[in-house]
Amino acid sequence: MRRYSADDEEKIRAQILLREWERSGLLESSQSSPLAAELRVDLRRTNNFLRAVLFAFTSLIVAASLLLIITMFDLDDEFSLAVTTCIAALLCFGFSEYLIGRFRLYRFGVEEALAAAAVVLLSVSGAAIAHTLRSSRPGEFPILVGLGAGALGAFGIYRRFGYVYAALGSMICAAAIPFQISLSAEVQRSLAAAMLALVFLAVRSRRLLYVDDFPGDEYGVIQASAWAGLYFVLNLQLSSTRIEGWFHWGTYVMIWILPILGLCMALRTKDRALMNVSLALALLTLAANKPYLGLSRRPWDPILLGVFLMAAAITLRRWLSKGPDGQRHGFTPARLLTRDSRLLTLVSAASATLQPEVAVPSTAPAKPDFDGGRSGGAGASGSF
Amino acid sequence: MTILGRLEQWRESGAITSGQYDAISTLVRKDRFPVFLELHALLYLGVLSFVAGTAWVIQTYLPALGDAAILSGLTLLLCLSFYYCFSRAAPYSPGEVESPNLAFDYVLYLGCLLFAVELAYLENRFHLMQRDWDHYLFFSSLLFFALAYRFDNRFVLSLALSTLAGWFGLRISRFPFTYGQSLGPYALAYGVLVAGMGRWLDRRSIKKHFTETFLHIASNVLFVALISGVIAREREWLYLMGLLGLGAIAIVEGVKYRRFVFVAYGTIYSYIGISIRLLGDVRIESTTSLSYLIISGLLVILSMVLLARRFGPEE
Repeated sequence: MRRYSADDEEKIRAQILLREWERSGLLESSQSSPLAAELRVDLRRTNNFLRAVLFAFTSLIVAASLLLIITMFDLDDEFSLAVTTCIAALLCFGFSEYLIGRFRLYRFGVEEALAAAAVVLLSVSGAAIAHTLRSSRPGEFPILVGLGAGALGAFGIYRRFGYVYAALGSMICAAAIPFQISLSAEVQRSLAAAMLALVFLAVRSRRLLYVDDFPGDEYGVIQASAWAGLYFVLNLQLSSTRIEGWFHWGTYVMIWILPILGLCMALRTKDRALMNVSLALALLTLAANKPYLGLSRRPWDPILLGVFLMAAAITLRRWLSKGPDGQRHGFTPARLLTRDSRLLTLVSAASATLQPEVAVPSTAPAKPDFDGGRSGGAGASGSF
Repeated sequence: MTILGRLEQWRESGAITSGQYDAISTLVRKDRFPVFLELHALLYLGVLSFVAGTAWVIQTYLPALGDAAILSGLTLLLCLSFYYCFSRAAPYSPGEVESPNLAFDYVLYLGCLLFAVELAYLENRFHLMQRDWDHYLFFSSLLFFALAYRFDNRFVLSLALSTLAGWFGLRISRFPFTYGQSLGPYALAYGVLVAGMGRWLDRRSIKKHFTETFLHIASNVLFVALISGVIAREREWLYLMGLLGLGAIAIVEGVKYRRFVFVAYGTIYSYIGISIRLLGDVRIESTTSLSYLIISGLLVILSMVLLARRFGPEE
């Protein structure tokens, strides 16, 4: 079923690790070069930035080509649209297969965009067909069919090419299906949650089996995303839906249980993706707690949260570093790989766009109009 | 074959030593599991949350607390933060300096943000600088630059750059897609100044690891300013030439120094600029527009493929 052999996938992951170990000083470059040669595969790859550019422009071409055909041949009725998008989906998928087979592309952007476009087009085609079949009652049925086609198509793409984002897309489409059926909000959310919980359970056993070796790394991301999805479906404060009664309180209990349970599972198996997702969910729960209880937020809440987070980080670091060899139960606050430093550098550079907007004199005389905004950490658009 | 299996094979063949095997296999088996990034994330979010809460409390309880309480509270926190940093910092070095501990960088960042809150409060309440209140931004950015270089802190450097942008009248937080017509020249001046500063400091080998932060911010501001000029339709050809020139520099330098994110900037921004100019008067769903998008897109893909073939997956 898979387009790439397991051996190639394993070698590519080993190459990435090898480069990281060399950068981190665990291996000499004279050692890693022959090992890299041993791990060489006949697949053509590129770096993530060029891959993103190639993905974007391929998507642009697919969209423009389809629109051009529709415009030139006046194919704007439902049936013609369904047939055209279906044919386009097949062509995209076929071309993606051809490029991989002929040029041995691997995560190169072009073939990925074509495969992703095939799923989107299939979904549009499904919705358009459903619309022609049920034109008297257009309602939610076409969307339902579109989501179903999208879920199946994206899952197929994941199984074929191993694109983890396709698996996540499939999961999102599947979880969105209950929201298109005329059911009560409680049942809709329960069905979506059950679906995501099933995905989590199905993937978890495989994740535990393979751990970080291929395809365990993919299962790790899917598992953590399913866990996050389960939380998002159950946290009523993240949407505008008003649900009262037992379901409200049941979800309140769940938004506390899920991060804690996730964190326990992640710490036991040292699963980074699940651990980070659970930590983020725990923060969301802290933020959603008061609105859930019907209490109003107080201005000092963020201060308390900030102090709590800082104190937790410092206490944890001290506790871990005071253990034997500067670690406890294998957890260490030390930086062992340069990858962590690079990520931190990226975050700190990006923090220029995330400065908290603290103040601007609200009553001070105005400066000439620059039709823009004052910004930055030391002056922005808020006011006392 | 699993990663551990490969490591064992390499040890047995003598490709790696037993010591190296032990060090790496400990990481692979997760017998040593670093939580370095997670601790940093908690501290960063903690600082942001604390400062946002402080500003909110001041805003809400200003009449109840009074100026003296607010100013003395903020000053005390500020002094404590800076005292902590100056008393624990390693001596200045133009190279990269490791922080003495995990919290150090964030205490400095907290101090700088609280300084900004206090300054804004002072001006808001007492109007000390009147119409020239924006000079606070300039002097704050100078202080933040000095602190960023003294303590080797990238968060404070980013704060300095965004504060300087504020002095120029620009917004970097919530990055805009275009600058208004009157902001364009200021954005260009800011971009050139920041890029120039970055290069000058880099050539003098002063905190060379900061250079990329300068270049990221400068290039994005410059590209957006030039695109804004193209959209504004006043001397648009001049702006377009500037945009294409800058795009070419970004691509050439990005390839030269293997920083492919700049290649991506150069390609995407230039393409947007050309497309806006060429398709400005044509409906997007017209045959001409769509044909242009297909042909130009194919040309971009072709050139990117040629580039990608030369460099492989390196970043």
